[in-house]
Amino acid sequence: MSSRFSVRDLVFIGLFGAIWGALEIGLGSYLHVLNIPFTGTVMTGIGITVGLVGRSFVPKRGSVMFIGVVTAMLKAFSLGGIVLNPMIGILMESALAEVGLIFSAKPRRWTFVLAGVLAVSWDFFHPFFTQGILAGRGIFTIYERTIQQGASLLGIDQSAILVILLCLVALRLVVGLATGVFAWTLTVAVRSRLGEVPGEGTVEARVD
Amino acid sequence: MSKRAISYRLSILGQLAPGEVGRFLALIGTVGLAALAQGWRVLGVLLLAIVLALLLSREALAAARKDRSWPMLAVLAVGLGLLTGEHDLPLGPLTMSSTGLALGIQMTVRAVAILLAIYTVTTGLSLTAVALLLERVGFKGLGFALGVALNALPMVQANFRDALTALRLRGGFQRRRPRAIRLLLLTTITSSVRHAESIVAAAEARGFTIGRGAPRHINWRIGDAVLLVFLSLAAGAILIH
Repeated sequence: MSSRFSVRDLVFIGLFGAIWGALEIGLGSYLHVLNIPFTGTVMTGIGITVGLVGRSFVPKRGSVMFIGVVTAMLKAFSLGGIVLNPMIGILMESALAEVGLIFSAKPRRWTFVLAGVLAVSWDFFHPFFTQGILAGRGIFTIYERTIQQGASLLGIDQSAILVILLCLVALRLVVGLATGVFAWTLTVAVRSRLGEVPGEGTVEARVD
Repeated sequence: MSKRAISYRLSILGQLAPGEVGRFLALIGTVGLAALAQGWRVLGVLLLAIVLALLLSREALAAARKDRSWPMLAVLAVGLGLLTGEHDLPLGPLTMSSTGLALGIQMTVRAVAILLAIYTVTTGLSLTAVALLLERVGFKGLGFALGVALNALPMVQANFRDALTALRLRGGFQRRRPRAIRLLLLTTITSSVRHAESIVAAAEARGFTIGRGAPRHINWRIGDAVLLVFLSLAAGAILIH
């Protein structure tokens, strides 16, 4: 079975996997020091941004997923031992980004935005998923009881907590949207700095 | 005994030991059973994980001992005993919930079994073997991409550190942080991508193409089949009432 990726494609996939991995380890701790809120969500956005910029260099279906797999394996085998939660996160985010990019063969601004929204939205569901695997189905009973006790303790209706949860989902959607737009503008900037002429190649570059 | 007879016997013994496929089966089986087993049946899953670690990779036990998750797991076990259910179990100065404590211990046991299964695979398999297995399920060329990533990682990290230092010296992160992050990414990515063409040229100069090179096959062994039967029996013993 022949590979749909050429040697050049695989080099760029490996390179962007290394960039994503290096940012995971280097930038994450620095953002914590800067006390930036929701650092995890921001790091998810930055990682997906790298994957989407990589998509512009390898405009083939599956390239973002491939970049995610390379990054996850780098994390597992070289960047700090077994880190199951981030590995699952990276794989799911890159898979969801790939789903968003399905609708167009060439990179386009709206597919980048859709990919960003889908990928970053995973950040909300991630702890429930991983805790569900490790802790079993009993964890959801724990959540239900915790919400009931928390509402009772604070003297508020349980529906208010659901509103809070919905706000947290909305936050991820906004960050995802910003990620897609940011990835697109960054792609244009990278191409420009590399000396590629806007409008040629695989990225529709416009100067707004 | 002739050399041919010795090598034949060694090849038979080699076939009896589980290989890469068997190790992945062990991981999938243990994680699956951990997800399905309820109540104190998770102790059976932990026992299975320990037996598999002893059979396939003894380094897994040492690696699991050093894992940083132990404090979190201890907090999980004790915390549930304190926070959930009716407090009906006096333990020294504390009164805990027997239901919550049981649930916490079961969750901890499940987490330990899964961690042990993961370590059994990662300490017993090389990165090459994992890449080859993934290539078989559709990620063709993953081994080469991973090799590029591993070799490029120090260069990328150096580019990132240089860009970060330059931005910090210019006060980039004190104001307009989003712009600073954008500049950091832009510089890191462009510095790294400039090397891409030289890597491609080096690979092509060596005549490298996807699918060429010395083939290394990952075969199904007798030991993998034996392990599959063992896992099936264990699953039946753990899950069936």
